Amino acid sequence: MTLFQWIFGTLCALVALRHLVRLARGNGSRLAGMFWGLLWAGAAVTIFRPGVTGELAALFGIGRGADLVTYLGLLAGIVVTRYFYNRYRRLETTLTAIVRDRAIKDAEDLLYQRGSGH
Amino acid sequence: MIDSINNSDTKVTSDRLPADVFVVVPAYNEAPRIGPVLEKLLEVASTVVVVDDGSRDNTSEVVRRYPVWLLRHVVNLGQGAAIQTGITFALQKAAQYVATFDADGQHEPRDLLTMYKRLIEERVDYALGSRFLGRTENMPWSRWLMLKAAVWFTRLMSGIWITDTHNGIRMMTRRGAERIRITMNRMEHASEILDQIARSGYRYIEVPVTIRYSVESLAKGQKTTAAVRLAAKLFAERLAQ
Repeated sequence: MTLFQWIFGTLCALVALRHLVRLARGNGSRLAGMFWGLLWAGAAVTIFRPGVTGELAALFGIGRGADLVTYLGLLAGIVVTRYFYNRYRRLETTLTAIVRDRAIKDAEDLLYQRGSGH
Repeated sequence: MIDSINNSDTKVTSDRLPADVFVVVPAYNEAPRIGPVLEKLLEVASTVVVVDDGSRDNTSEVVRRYPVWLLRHVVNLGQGAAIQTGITFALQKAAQYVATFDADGQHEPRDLLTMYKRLIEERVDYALGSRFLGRTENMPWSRWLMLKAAVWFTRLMSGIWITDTHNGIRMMTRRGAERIRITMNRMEHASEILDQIARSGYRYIEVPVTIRYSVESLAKGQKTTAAVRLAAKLFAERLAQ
């Protein structure tokens, strides 16, 4: 095994273990624990056994394992971006509604206050 | 497009807008400019709604010297949000017509009279100001280019064929205003409004207007880089829908 595999493979395996232990103890969200545990475990496996991604890629008809990883990363990036964009828009809409509501309730009729009346 | 249900046959001869025409003026850090703008505007408009969009200067204090409605956003949301606040307020106050008018002194208030007249006489729901049918003073070529690009971008995105897509002076009937729901808070609202006009099926016209560029209005206006960001945001919004 190379130095890279020893260092990064071990690090990924430890992070995966941490998530799985937290999951077993019932700490935090089950879904998040499973997702992150599997993701880091997958990363450790592909570092220790690089041939795995190639075998998986072949299953999908993709030539190289690295290409499969790139495609999956791209897909995940799009999904995550869209998720956060929608969250941001919802927050913006809520904030706008609150600010607007207050502005309308506190509207100052300066024509009336100046004694001219509407 | 379908015919307007505006049933007024009134010939407009007055040089002043009636009280049921609400003119919405979004303002952000406009203290040095808004006083003279309101003075000129109040010569033709009876009901003016200024929406102070969380200004950090004393815009509100200046506005309080004039006989208008003043609404204040506690934080800065953007011009689109300020316009929607003004429209919502005007509709709550039984406005029959709603106009929008920028606070930076670029617009000519008397253009509102022409818009009102044509809105009624031509029985349409939206009158949109066009500087390219009217007149511009001191417009830099970079702004001309940016606005022309915006026209083509809007034609592509909204399918609405007009000559000036980012003009802040516009007027609409109550029915037309009820169809406008600006959700994009910042400068993208101009395209969003056109999009909603196109979808409403209501009739619209373009009215020649005058735009005067000054050093201050250009400094506050949209930069070319901002226009690129705006286009990107509109595109992202479409993708997310």
